[in-house]
Amino acid sequence: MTTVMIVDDELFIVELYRDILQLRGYKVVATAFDGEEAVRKYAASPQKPDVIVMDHRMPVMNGVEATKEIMRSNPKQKIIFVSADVLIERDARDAGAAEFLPKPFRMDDLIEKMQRVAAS
Amino acid sequence: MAGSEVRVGPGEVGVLMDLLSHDMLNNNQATLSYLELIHSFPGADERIKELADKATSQVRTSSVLLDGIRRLVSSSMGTPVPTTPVDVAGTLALVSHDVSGMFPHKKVTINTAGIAPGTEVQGGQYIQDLFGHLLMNIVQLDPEDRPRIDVTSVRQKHNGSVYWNIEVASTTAALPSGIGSDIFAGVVPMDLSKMARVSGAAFAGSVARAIGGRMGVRVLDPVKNRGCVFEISLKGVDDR
Repeated sequence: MTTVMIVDDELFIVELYRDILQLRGYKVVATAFDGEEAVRKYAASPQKPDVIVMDHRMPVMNGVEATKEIMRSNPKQKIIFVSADVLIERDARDAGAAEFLPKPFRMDDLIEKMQRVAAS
Repeated sequence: MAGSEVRVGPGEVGVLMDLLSHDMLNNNQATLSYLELIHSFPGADERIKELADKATSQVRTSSVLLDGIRRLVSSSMGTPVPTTPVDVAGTLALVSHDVSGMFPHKKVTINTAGIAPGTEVQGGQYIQDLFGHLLMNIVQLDPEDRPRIDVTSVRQKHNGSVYWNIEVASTTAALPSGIGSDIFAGVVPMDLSKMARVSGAAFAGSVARAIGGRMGVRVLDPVKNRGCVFEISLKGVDDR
């Protein structure tokens, strides 16, 4: 079963991802509400998630910075960057995100990207 | 004694609009996804699915409008015009899919066979915004259940620069009477209740101007007030 970490500062968005992903057979193994918490939890977890779903606008540390930190510690980590800020796509990809999904997205778009990065 | 005026600075308004619209997009995202979950729920009643589809189309439209607001706010704060060439036919294919999804009760046809090969214009993401809002508005203005929109393009050279003249035509859409090219006047000289019916076209016109192009409209049958052709001129990619 593909394991997922969700990083978003909005609780209702974290719950949304959890609802969608669990219904589609994914296992949510960790959540974080800002980039710094994500980096810390990621470093502390002995079992890394297969995929991280990462928001951008978050307090303390944003998604691009968190992506850079995580990719520095594990260049093979798969990160799907999700944001309403389409102009941030290039920065997200430069930081190491495997996929970029603009908000609002369709559920099938998220699942298709999950399948793609998990299989790569 | 008169009280002091409430006044928020334009820069502050821009930042707040950006933050608030970002939050609204997050709310739309959650609503949209839960509606999709309801729709795909095993054993869901067909009538429930139909109602969920209607709500979904409204939320998607709301998100497109919010995107437009965000782009305008960003433009008003001095974002440089993107010069990235954009393939118009490809953009229309993407936009057509979105627009059709906004009107599940209509069978929308957007015919791009008249787009000349190599129609590429400058403007990055703004091009998708322009056509998205314009096509959405034309479908709104069309009383037919099966609206059809034809898009054509012609390459032109002006003072050594390449321009593409793009026509977006409907034989059945009805603009509010007497409105014509006032839509693209830049300021709002007209009745706001009429303007509300053409906000998507007005937005498209503002985007066209912001990226160095222009836009106008002519009514095909002024007597019956039926049919219209939007004429858009956009900067192309100069010959090397």
